[in-house]
Amino acid sequence: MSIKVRIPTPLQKLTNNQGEVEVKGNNVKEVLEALEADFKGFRERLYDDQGQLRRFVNIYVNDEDIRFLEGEKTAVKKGDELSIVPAIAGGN
Amino acid sequence: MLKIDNQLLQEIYAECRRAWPEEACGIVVGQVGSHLVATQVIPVRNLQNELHQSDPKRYPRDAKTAYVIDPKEIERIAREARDKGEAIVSMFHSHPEHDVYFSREDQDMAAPWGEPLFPHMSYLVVSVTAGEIKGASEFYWDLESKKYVERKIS
Ligand SMILES: [Zn+2]
Repeated sequence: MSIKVRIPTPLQKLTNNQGEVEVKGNNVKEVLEALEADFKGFRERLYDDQGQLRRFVNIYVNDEDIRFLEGEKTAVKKGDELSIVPAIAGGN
Repeated sequence: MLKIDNQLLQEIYAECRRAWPEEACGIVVGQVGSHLVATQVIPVRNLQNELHQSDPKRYPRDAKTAYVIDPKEIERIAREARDKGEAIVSMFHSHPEHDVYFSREDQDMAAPWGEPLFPHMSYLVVSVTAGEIKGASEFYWDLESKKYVERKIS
C-alpha cells in the first residue's frame, strides 16, 4: 500500500528536499520503517533509544493525531496521508 | 529581531497574568521584511495538562512548568496570516515563578534536530512571579553562532 508522507522542513534534507514522499506500509509503524529503508536517518530522529517515538514527534494520519487513534498500530490505506509534525512546545 | 509596540506587549502580559500559575502561550503575527513587525497577538490554549493527565510517564510536566500548542491551531493561524500577506513572527510563553531564560526544554523543542523549526521566528519568554510580570526577553536564532540569543525587552 503506497502512502503519502509529509516531511517537516528540518528533515527534508533526508529526502532530497522533498516535502512529500510515497512509501509502502499497512500501518503507521510499517510506513515509518519504510521511510527509514528508503531514506536513511529517520529512525534516530523519530525514535529514542528505547524505541519509543520521541516526545516532540507527533504523527497524524490525515487530520488525526495517532495518540488518539491506535498509536503506531493505526492502519493506513491507499490515499491516506501521514504527516510528521514536530511539537510546538517548551517549558522552564 | 522583532519590533513590537507596547500595546501588543501588554496583551501578552495580560495573558501571562491570566494563565498564572500555569504557563501561558500564544502566537504573534506580523509583517516580514527587513524587520519582523508584530501586528497581532493571539493567545492559544496550553494543552500540557491534557497530555500530562493522559500519559504522565511520557509527559511528566504539567502546565505549571511546560506548554504545548496544538499544531492544527498553528496551521490555522499561519494560513490566516498568509491570507493577509503576513506570517507568524514569534511565539510567546511564560515562566510562572521562574526567571526569563531560554531553557533546555525551550531550546530542544525549538530546534529538536539541532536546527530551528522556524529559523526566522523568535520566541518571547515572560517571567511571572506572584502573578506579576517580572521581565521579558526575545530569543532569536543567530545564524553565525547557530544558537538562540537573548534580547531583553523589559
Ligand atoms: Zn520556557
